[in-house]
Amino acid sequence: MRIRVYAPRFADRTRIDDDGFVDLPSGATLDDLLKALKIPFRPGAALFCTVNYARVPRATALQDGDTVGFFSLVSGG
Amino acid sequence: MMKGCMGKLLFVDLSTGAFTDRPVDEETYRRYLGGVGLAARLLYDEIPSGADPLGPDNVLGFMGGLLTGTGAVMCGRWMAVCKSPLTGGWGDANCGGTLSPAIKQCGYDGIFFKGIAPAPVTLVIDAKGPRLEDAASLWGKDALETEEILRRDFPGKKRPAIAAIGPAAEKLSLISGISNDGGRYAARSGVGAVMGSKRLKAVVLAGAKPISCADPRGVKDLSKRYADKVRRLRLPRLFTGRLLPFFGRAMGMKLVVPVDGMLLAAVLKKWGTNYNNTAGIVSGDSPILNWRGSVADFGRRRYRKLNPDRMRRRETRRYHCYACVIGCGALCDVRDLTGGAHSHKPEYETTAAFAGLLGNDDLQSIYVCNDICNRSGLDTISAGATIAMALECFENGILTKADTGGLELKWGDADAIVRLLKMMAAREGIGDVLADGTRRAAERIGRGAERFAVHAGGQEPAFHDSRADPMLGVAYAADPTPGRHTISSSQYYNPSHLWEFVPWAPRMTKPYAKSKEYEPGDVEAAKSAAYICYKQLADASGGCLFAMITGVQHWRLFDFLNRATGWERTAVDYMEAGRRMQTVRQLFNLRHGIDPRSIVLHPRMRGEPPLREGPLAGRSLPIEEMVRGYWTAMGWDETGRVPDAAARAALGLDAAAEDKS
Repeated sequence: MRIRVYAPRFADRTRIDDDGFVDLPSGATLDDLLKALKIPFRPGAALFCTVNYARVPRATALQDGDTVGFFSLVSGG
Repeated sequence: MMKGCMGKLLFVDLSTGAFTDRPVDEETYRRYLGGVGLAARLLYDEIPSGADPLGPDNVLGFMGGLLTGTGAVMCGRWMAVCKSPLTGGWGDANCGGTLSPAIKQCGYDGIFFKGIAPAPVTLVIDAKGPRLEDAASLWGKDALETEEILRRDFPGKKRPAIAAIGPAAEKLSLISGISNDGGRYAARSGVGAVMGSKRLKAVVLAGAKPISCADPRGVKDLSKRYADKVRRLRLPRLFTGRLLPFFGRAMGMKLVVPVDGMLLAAVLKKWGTNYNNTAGIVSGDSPILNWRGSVADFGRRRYRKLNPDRMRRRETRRYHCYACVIGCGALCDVRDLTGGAHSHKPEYETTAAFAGLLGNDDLQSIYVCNDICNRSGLDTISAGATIAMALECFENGILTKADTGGLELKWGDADAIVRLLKMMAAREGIGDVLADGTRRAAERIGRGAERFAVHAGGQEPAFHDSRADPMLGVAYAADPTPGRHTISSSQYYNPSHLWEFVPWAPRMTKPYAKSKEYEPGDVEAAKSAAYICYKQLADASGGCLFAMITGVQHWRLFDFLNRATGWERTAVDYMEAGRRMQTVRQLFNLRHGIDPRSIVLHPRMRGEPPLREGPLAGRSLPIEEMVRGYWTAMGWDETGRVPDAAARAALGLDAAAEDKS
């Protein structure tokens, strides 16, 4: 399944394709994705992470087409 | 008749008291949509070349958005439009609040004023229709008090939407704006001075006409999908204001990564724009000490006093503009500081204007400055910038106590800053010299003061540093309303996802080195052109900048437009309408004698010389080359002039040329 990922700067990006997607096996969880991105301190990092714009437990199974993002700032306003 | 629009405009001749309805045909809506786009085309014809911006020939317009009232979420913005007395060119100012739907509920897409009233008046539109009422008793009162009085005077079933000016605008301060809904401001371009010059104290709108929509269910569905995402977003409790500087540091790093702009909604819901108070200083986004300093001059001990968690303690309730689901505003209790009632909280721009820019870490004084500006009508951005210039002039002996009436001006002296701002609002003493912004003040002071007058084409830039974002520098230098931070930037473009809908918009889906943004070329030029065209569409529709930042894959502007109007147009076609609107704005400036090349950023804004400390150390912008690239990408020549065929096409004077453009 393909997951759209907006990864933080410190993530390992080798698994992210040019369009911003990561391929994961069916049944993979948010924690599996964090591992694939080599995110350190996963329990803490997951707090700053959303799946389809909601915060969820790390054990949550991802679905094809989900969007995973990390809170970040954009200057403006 | 197409849906979404009201089909006509109201013209008020203040010199004679005459009212005229002017119908608008569908082809005109197709070409310019509404809002700023429609107004720019209209005022291109209506305002004669060389017209005095404060004279009877200038026309001041209040425009609603094409999507306002159709059920489209985040589309409640209204726009004041005119020839700007600050820049001498096209002027517009964008505001939230409640006025945009009220304009349309009165039966109009826009209300225009020409001439000058013989005595102060208020425009009232309600079930009895439009009329001018005597406003002599309101003249001299501040904008918030004026609104309170008018609200008592018009207590009907329908709560009126009210826009008003304060004493600074009455005294024709060229950096004054127009207040709405208790202190939301259309602040830029000197629109308040134009309203003051016409002796129009206020506008009271209490119409109840329905606003049509071609596909209400379709629009509602798009809005619901957007709102659901915003509502689901919640920051973790441990994401406090103390973490924002760390996020700011990441923002200023040398690698730019794709971000999902929608997640910013969670940040805005918690802190509003004040999230950038500290993050912006750390990232280099916030100019310090009149653009000559950095976080090295305003370090952690000082900037932490601006932690937005501190500001939340004064909030009494969140504030949403019409049709907004984010709610970045808030009302706050400042009775202990100002003696007045609750007021809108200071935004990031206001905080930056009176804090780091002036070396001031006294948060309470920021609330006082905010209140002075909201009541008098001074634009907080321009007022802060002008005080910064005065401080630096004083430091360099260009101004002395003899000039300031004995007031000693020092960086970070909150009491002196407040006193100087009050003098500006009242045009007293040195305040009269400063009340028209940096460019005019420098001309009046002389003695080399222009070295410290930070502006672009006469307008003070907002507090996002162009040295941190060259694309923002292009907007500061090349937009027909220069110095505006809301026009475009790479920070806005990257999360926009425009490329998913518009093939010619450059794709930004991969990380890249920040240094790439400083390299002039086709990609940077196309990014500027694309975002500026998109921005015109939003300003025509009444769209909010923050909705734009969340990304068009979420806030589906092109779909909203089709479903609200009944059109079946492509994103590319809409973007061409955006290009047309921007071209008309450019043509307005050319018609009024502004050479686009004459708008030059202050050297500090382009990094000449570069800063020696802080996150922006060593950075400078190849701004002239980048601006030329943008002009070319817009289809104009390398001097910013619009070729005749493109001009005729943009103005709708030549259908054949339009087909070829």
